[in-house]
Amino acid sequence: MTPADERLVAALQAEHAAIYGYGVLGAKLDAATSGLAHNADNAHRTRRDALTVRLAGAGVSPPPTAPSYQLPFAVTDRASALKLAALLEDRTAAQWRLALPATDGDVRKLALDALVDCTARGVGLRKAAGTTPLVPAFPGKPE
Amino acid sequence: MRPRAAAARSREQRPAAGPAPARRESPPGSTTHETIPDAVPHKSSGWCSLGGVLIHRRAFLAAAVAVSAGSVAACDPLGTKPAAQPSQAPDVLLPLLHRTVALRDRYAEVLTAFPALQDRLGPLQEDHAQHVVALAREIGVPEKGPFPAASESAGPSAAASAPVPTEQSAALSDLAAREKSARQDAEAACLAAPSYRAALLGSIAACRAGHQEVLS
Repeated sequence: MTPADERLVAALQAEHAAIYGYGVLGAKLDAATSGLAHNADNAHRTRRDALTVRLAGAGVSPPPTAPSYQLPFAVTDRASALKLAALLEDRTAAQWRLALPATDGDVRKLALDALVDCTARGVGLRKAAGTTPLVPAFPGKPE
Repeated sequence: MRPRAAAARSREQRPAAGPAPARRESPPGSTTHETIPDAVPHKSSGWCSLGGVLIHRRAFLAAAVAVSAGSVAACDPLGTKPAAQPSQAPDVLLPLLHRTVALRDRYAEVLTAFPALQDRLGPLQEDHAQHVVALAREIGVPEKGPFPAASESAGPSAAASAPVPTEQSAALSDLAAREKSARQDAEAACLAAPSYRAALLGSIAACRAGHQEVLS
């Protein structure tokens, strides 16, 4: 597996985890925020599908989603649901950022678009949650 | 969040969407110094390739001085090529740096006109200030400037010097439009960049996208 494929596999695993997480947290949101989660979920599914196709085309077996994932904290209400959603975006963004140096051309564009999208969605979620800062100075970069 | 099965199997496995590993973002797979087939100067940056391993010129120079005071040929450990000359073509990131300075300063102008926006715009201005520092370091120029002139135009200077709109909403819309343009600018730079700069430029592009969301 090439370094680029390794990074794409890691990004795919992050997308799987995000999709699982949105499935859990969506039920705790209200009408004003469920649309945000719905759109985010769709975006992650679209990216997962694109990644799966690309990896399979490169002869790499795309890792399947796990049956379940360990949540970093309990999702019990709107606030914890929005907090998890923002965390999912941050973590997915971090994996896509790591893919940038290993890729170029169309694949880097895929990674860059994903990093940008995850960051913008994270801002929308933090706005809804009322938490700051809304935007990290260097999205996806490890603290 | 990690798959339960993986968590049970081994703590060493990286979680599916766990914290990103805090390691250098050098090209994967190039971790040895066994051969030095392509030690070439990267004239426009502070980085050198040493057998495929990217090291910073300052770090390399420090090592070179320590090892042999008589052979300080920047980025050329074999001494087979002329040392990199200080007078080189301007770094390709210089225009981006200048435009980032202009964007940072635009926030200052808007905040002078509308001090009540400090809570909302102050953090965004600070992000741009951090980008200026990061880009200056990447290029290898003093963080506080003055920055060398870019070979190309540093951007739409006419628009940059346009007065701040008198209506607050118009001023915010103007900033949002500038952020969008700046995001596209950074995206193009990221896509054209060598590996070692891609993550920095990608983060800057993403931050600007986030700013658009804040201003929307």
